[in-house]
Amino acid sequence: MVTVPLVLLAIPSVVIGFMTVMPMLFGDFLKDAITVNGAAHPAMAGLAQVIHGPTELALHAFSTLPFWLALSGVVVAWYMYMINPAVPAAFKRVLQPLYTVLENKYYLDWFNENVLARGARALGTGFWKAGDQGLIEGGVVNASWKLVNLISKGVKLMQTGYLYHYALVMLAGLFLFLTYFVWLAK
Amino acid sequence: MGLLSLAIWVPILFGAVLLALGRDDQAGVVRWIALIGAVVSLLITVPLYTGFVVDSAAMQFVENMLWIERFNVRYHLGVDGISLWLIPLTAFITVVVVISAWEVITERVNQYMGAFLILSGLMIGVFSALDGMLFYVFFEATLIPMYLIIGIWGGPNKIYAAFKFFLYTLMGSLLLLIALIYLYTQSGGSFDLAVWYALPLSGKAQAFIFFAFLAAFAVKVPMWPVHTWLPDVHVEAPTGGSAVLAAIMLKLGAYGFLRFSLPIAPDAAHEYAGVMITLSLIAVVYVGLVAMVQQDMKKLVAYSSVAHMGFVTLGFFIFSDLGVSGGIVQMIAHGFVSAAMFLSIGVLYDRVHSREIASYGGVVNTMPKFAAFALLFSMANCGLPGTAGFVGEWMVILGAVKYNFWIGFAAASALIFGAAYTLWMFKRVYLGPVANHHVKDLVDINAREFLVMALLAIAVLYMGIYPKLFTDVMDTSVTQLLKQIAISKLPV
Repeated sequence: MVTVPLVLLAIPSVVIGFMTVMPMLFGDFLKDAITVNGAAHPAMAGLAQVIHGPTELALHAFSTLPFWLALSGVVVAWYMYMINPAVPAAFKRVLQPLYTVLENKYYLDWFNENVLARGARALGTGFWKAGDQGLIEGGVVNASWKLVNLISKGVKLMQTGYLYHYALVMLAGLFLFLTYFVWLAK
Repeated sequence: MGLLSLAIWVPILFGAVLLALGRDDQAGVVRWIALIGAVVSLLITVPLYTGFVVDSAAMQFVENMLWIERFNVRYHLGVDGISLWLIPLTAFITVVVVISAWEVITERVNQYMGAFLILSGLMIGVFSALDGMLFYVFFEATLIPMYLIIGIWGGPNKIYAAFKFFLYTLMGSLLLLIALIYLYTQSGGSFDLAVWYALPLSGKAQAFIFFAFLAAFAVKVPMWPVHTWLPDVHVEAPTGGSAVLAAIMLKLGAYGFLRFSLPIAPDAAHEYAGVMITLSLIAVVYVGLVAMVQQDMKKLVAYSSVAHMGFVTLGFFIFSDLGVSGGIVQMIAHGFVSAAMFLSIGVLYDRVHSREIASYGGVVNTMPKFAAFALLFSMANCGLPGTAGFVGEWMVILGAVKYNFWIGFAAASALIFGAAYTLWMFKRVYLGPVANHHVKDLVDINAREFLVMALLAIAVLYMGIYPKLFTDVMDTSVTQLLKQIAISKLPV
């Protein structure tokens, strides 16, 4: 399914790379975008000494260690998984703890999900329920109207409509004020 | 009549005409008049930008005449680089809201559209008033249409929400009024902001004024711990109400800090900057975590708004070019992004009549065009580079790191929380298999909804890719403001 698109992408990659590698590294291809100060950074001049063209560059790859290491990786993988799967199975048995750690990607996903994400959600729920809904809404916002409501209910009880009740309160008030000013505030 | 007066009174006039137009049998005409009114009001604000002198920190397009002679209250208007973009933003969001309500609002259409147009004019009045009393009148007057919008077209618990909104904001505003009257008496009978800027004030007086202003503006922003009204109100408000509330009304409070608190009480602002930074960081971190556990999409975006506005106040109180400019950019960006987020929720709510995240799943399968827009807006809400959400947050974080590394570090954590709660919501609502028959029966957005989404998407992307258009106009005014607040106003 993906083979055809991959082939279609690989062909222009090779062709474009072949055509543009030299002008890109040493020519004017990127002259308006990247300027290299040759005096301060002579690396490109050093590269120009050893790179003479795309064909030579491609052939040079066959003489380097990374190419052969990559190729040997392909061969070893082919042998172990296509020809003789008993070998990786033996490795798995011998190196079981290491295998488990690698299989679980160093447990980083587990840590993220169970510690960071779960912890953040727990903290968020705590802030929301205890902070916003409990303390701010319950303790301050709703408590303020409840307090006003309570005081109003208390004050309402004092409004009996009887003149003698009001007169008694006035007398009591007068007594308290006089007591304060005559005796206590001296 | 000057441009600013036109920007204020044309939408109010259109709103008044709509109110007089009568009932729903004329809904078609009402909608078109509302749209014409909103578009004309937006067009009026265009010369404000094209005619604005970028290099000047002075107030421009000034109108100044006596209004109430006995108390020396003046009809004094003007804009500088701080307020300039907030005016077209207000007019733009009104156009978007009018279009978004087209088929959705079917009852009392004239009153709904009229309320939004009047609200638009009043909010532009707040952003352009240069007289303390005129500012107060516009600031308070905005409560009335929004109260009605929530109370009439809101959800099942709309009366509770409308009262909560009104009482909360009115309570804060009373202290603002007392501070304004105090300044009036101290300045020898003037409400002129320029006079107040030059007025020497003792440390005690500045502290009183600063906290009185804080009471009004912190509730409006809203800052932690006076933020709990916002989620309740958003949940009950109609979609357009939520969009305007998040996009513009929250900015009235943040703008108040720049126009009133900082220049009138600069010594107090410096002295209590630590308190403001702490409250802002709590808003960013604490509220970000609270947003993560919300099950209601509107509540989640409401909490996200509180966290984003925390960036704005944080930027203001680190007293640097980057911080203040970043805060203003964040205000504008949040205007676009939050409106887009609420309107997206509205698109889903209109179809399924649920705001619960659990009611959805796999929406992308039935509404691919809409899901693409929603993804863009979600990314912008996370502060992804290339979108409007990134620019202001990045500027504030940069300013905060220069001010104090750990403050910058705490602020930057908001990007992680923002990504967590927004993308988690996106995953649960839009991705995966189709969750139920409601989602299966969904129909993708129509041309009108596409237009609304596209307008906001263009704004979000344009601001993210080329923010220079927004930042250039504010540089001179921000520099001037910072110079002004660096000078002590304590009497010598």
